Formats: sequence, C-alpha cells, structure tokens
Amino acid sequence: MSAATDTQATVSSALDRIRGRFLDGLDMRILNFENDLAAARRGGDEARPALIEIRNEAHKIAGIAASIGLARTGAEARAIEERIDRELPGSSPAAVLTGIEPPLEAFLDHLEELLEQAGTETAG
Amino acid sequence: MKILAVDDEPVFLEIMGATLTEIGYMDVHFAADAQEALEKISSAARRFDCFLLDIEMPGMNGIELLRRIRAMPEYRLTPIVMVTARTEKTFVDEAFMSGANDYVTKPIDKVEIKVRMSMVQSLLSERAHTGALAGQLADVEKSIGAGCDFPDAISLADAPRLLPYPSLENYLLKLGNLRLFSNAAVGFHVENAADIFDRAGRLDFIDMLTDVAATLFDAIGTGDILLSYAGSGDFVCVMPRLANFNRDEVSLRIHDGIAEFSDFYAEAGLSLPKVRVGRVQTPRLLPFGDPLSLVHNAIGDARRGSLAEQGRSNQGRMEHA
Repeated sequence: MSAATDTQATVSSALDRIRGRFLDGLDMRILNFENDLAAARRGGDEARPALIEIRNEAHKIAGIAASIGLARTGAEARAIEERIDRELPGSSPAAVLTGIEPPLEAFLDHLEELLEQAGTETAG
Repeated sequence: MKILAVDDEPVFLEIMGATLTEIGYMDVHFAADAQEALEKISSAARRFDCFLLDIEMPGMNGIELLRRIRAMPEYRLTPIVMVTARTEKTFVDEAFMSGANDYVTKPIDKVEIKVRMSMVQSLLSERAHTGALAGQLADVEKSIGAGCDFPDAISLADAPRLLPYPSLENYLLKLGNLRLFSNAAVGFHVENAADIFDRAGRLDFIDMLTDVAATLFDAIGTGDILLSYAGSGDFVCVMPRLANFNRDEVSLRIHDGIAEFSDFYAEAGLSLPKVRVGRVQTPRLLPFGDPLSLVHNAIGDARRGSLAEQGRSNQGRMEHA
C-alpha cells in the first residue's frame, strides 16, 4: 500500500468512526427534538425558546451530516433550520409550528430509520 | 502549523480534525466554546498560527471571539478563518469587518479546506516575508530591509480595520456576483509612492502607507467600508453601492488630512504622499463575470487618473515653455 493510499484508508476509517459516534448519539438528538417539539406544542412562554432549540439542533446536524456521508439528513436538517429562521422573527410560534411540524416529523422518522439501520448493521 | 479549531459541536471538531490531518496539518487543537479557546490561547507555550472559528456558538459567539483574539497584540495579524453555515451578506460582512481573513461554509469539503489553508499558508509566508508578523520594530526593519518590494501588497500592522489584500479578494469571491451588486469600489493611488519607496527606508515607506490608510478612513467617513492596500501605492475601498461618496469632498479631506503630517515628513526629508481618488466603480450584473474586476477597475481608474493628470501637467509645462 502506498503512503497516499495509506492516508486515504486512515481518513476513511476516521470518518467511519465519526459517523459511528454520530449515530451512537442520534437517540439523544431525537429525544431532544421530541422534548422541544412537545414544549412548542404546549405553547405559552416555552414555545418560542423550544422552536429556537429545534432550529439550533437542526443547524448542528446540517453542518456535519453531509461530511460523514449523510447528505439527505443534512439537507432535511438545513431546510428545517432555514424555515424557522425565515418564519420565526415575524410570526407567532403557533403559526411556525403548524408549518414546521410535517417536515420535522418526517425528519425525525428519517433519523429513526438511520438509527435502526445502524443497529441492524451492528447486530449483523 | 499550529491550528486552533473552535466549535460547540464535538462531531464537527472530529470531522475538521480528520480533514486537516488528511491534507497534512497534524498540529490541530480543539476548543468547545469561546471561553475554552481563550484559556487555550492564554496558556499556550507556543503561539497558534491559525484559528478556525465557528460563528454560531452558545454564550460568546465566534465574531466576538474573533474580536477578542484580534485585540491581543500577538494575534493581530494571525490568519483567522470563520466556519459557518450562514452565508447571508450581513454575516460575511461582519466577519470580515471584525478582522476575519476568510470564510468556509459548513458542511466542510476537503477540497475547499485545502484551498483555504493554502491561503492561510500564503498569508503566513507574506507576513514572515515582510516581517510584520514579528511585531517587533527592529525585526521588522531588518526583515523589511531584506525583502519588501514596491509591488508587494504589504499587510499594514498598525492600521486597524485594514484588510490584507488576499482577504479582500476572498471577501469578494465569497459574495459572488449577485450579492456583489449591492457594493461599489473606489481606488486611491499614491502618485509619488514609487519615489518615496526609492528615497525612504522600507520602514518609512510602510509608515507612509499607514498614514495614508488612517487618513483614508477618516476622509471616507462611513464606517461600513473595507479598505485594503493592494501594493504599488494602490489602495482600494469596497463600500455599499448606495453610500454617499462625494469624490471631490473626499479628495479635499484626504489632502487636509495628509497636510497634518507635514512636519513629520519635512523632518524625515520626505515629500508628502499625493493621493489621487478614482471614480466610484459599480459591478455589472453578469453571471459569469469576475467579482475581482470591481477592485481591479477601481485601482485602474485611480491610476489612469494619475497618468492623465501627469500628461496634462507635462503638456501644460511644454506649452508654457
């Protein structure tokens, strides 16, 4: 194996490890989304900070997912982040929630699928 | 190269570390927030050569951290690359106006990081070359005497808010043609710069450029500008397209501002810098145009004005004779 191939293999295995750690922590990220979504649904003073938390978590995932081979995950997260950025300053949290719930639920389903796949791969 | 990467997302720091390692940067340090970064900076036995800062962090954000780092004399000129997903013009402007040298968008891409780190390397080389990085007057004198040439786009250490020319180019390239459309540029040419360069020591030449830069900031007035020294006696200023820029008034204010340095220049046996102001240049909305042509045109216009005036002056002398 040449030095260049050696480095590429090392990097590839490093990214695999990072992807593995991202997937390991995914259940906690899903839980955070669900807690914030529940807080946003309850309304009141909690709703706006909860939507900001959802936006921030989506922002973090958008910044990393594509780099570890999860481009679709990154794109969905970015869409949620941008939608909240666009709508929250001029709208009520309830109105933003109405628009954001369907894509967010779909995104959470997608994250759960990733989690299941990772579990299957580990078990296999 | 000793690098400090700061981001509140641990997975992102791991990706950045792996990417930098892949392209040959092994001495990479990490901080999870601004506070930890400041602690690592203050306790470092050997200075960092480059910073990669996330903008959106809880607590102190990356822009504020950038300002804190820039306020440390030893890091006034250290390359700082901002890393963020946000590409709105206000974010880009704020980063560059606060002293960032470049900007990388998330998710990061190995090729882009490689290009950006090459820019960092060239900034470090240029500063080592001119001696400005040392920050020590004696060292500057020694190294500048050895190396700096008239066409060099020297980084002026003592002129705050003045972007190194490669950083201004990065800024324009990051904006792209569409967002560039809301900007304008003006060139300023020091007509007798070559003469001062030949007669003065390198350090006096740099002092002259620093005086001109400070005068330009005062004369232009508006704070919403980016100014850079492009080498060969040329400065260029990028400003909002709708900024109220009156060329005659600015020329007059520059003249008056420079005149305040008369005694110092007389004492040093040097002539006062004569600054020619170009016309305001605005970009054309062309999808495949070169964003850098805006500053090239601005510099060219200021230079052509100088040549035209020189021609008229020579013709006047000949007619008089």
